[in-house]
Amino acid sequence: MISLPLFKASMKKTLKLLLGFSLVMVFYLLTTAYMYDPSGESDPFSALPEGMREALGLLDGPQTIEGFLSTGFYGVTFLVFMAIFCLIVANQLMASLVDRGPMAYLLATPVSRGRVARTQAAVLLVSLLVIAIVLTAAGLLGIPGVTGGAAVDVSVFVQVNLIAFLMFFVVSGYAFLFSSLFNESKQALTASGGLTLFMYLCGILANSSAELNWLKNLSLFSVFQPLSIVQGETPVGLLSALLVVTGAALYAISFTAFRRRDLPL
Amino acid sequence: MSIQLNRLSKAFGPGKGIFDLSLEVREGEVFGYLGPNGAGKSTTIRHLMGFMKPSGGSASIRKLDCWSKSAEIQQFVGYLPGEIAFVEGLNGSEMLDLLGGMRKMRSTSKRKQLIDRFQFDVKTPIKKMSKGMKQKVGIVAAFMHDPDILILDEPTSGLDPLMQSEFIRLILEEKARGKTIFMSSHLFEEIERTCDTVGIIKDGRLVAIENIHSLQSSRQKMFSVTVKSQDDVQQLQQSGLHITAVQELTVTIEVQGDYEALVQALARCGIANISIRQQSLEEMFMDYYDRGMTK
Repeated sequence: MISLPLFKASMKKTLKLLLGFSLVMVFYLLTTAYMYDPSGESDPFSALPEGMREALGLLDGPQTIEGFLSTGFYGVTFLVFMAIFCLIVANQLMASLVDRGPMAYLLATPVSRGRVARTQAAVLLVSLLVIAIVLTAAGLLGIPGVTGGAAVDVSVFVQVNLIAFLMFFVVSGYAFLFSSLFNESKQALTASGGLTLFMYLCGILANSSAELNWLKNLSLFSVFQPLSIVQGETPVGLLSALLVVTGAALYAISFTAFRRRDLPL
Repeated sequence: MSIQLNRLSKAFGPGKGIFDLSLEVREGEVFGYLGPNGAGKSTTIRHLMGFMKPSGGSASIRKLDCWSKSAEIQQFVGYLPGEIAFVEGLNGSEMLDLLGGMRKMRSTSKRKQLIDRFQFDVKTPIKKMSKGMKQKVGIVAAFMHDPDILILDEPTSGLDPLMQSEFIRLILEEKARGKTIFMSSHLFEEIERTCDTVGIIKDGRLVAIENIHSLQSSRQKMFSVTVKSQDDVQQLQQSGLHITAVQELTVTIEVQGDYEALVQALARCGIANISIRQQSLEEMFMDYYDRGMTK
């Protein structure tokens, strides 16, 4: 299915970014948790104007630690870091190798194009999974410590992280697709970055006024409403299944596209 | 038949690409693929490697289609790309480990031998390598699994003259061991010393396929004669000899076989100097190009 030597080499190359992003996100998660005040009186985002809070999806004063983190961490910081990670790593795993040329060496071995693509996809997926596991574990183990004993609802916290991971499975899927389709890193990054930014802005505009609310249908990020998961209003099972199918389809299309196209090597 | 192109075509736009290329390379043959930059040499090689899908015709290696069976073909092919670019962040040794691992190679004896032969430090990070050093790593990558068929795109570019000769010796050894080699170049010297057959491509079309020995024997000699006066120049010009250039008192005469006419003509002139050289393959190919142009 995959080539183990290539997997190791690509994983090694991704490792620095993986460690860096994981550490920074764990730091942000725990720092945000540290600011949690169960009484809800010292909401660190209350200083922001009402309109801006709504646009960013920061709703009413948080109650539980999960609700607090939903707005304070998962609402913005997490999304930005994860999106950047997906775009950079997807780009360097495929388009960059074609753009700079080393792909010629990889394909001059008996490892087929399909297998090279599957191996690189595995590197991206394993990296995302590692971040998800590290973040979930750090949250479950670290939050009670930094908040002075707030009880984390394990099931809810895991559900938030599960949907988050699966949504970025889809984001990484389209980033990987563009990375497999384009000859130049620049084109691949422009396409995946452009799409991500477009969807993100649609989400913000949709939150900012009722007339623009329909824009949320154009954004993948609308499916991840951590507060609604916390309140038990998201059909987590169904949503997970949908995200898995969409992501898997994007990866499958990437493999086929990469097998069939001309490479400028 | 080792390598076969059957009316291989790839159009990139009006007049651009390769058109109707047909050629065959036998097992054990060394085929030189010559042409100016942009003629279509690398595009042909990309088809042999399965990087591009032909828009017409086909390419095959040992009867396996280069596009649909490219991964299988790599079992017995060694490839040196025209542009050397390795995976960032690896040193030469790690890159060779990666490629060896992807090939499931067990023995590294040939690899060690090649590294000793081309004398370079494999532990150098790729970022710090000179062009020549990268080329050497590329050569090791192409030869380390002892492939039966070698596809080499401009193999000596970036190498210093000493290493160029070393490389030519390597090619001759591999040839003696029965390897099939397809090598593109615009250096006629290396082709001349190594190849059995030469194919010439220009503007995406094969202009000629010639046996190197018949090319060499049809080769003309160039006599550069420096005479003593302008009258002598005129006399030579009227003598019916094939004069290719006149530069002040130096007349360049092309001779193929008929030496008596030359001696008789020269006997009537005052001679200051004579130097003789063989027409280079380059000049022979210029003849081909000129013929192609006038058609």
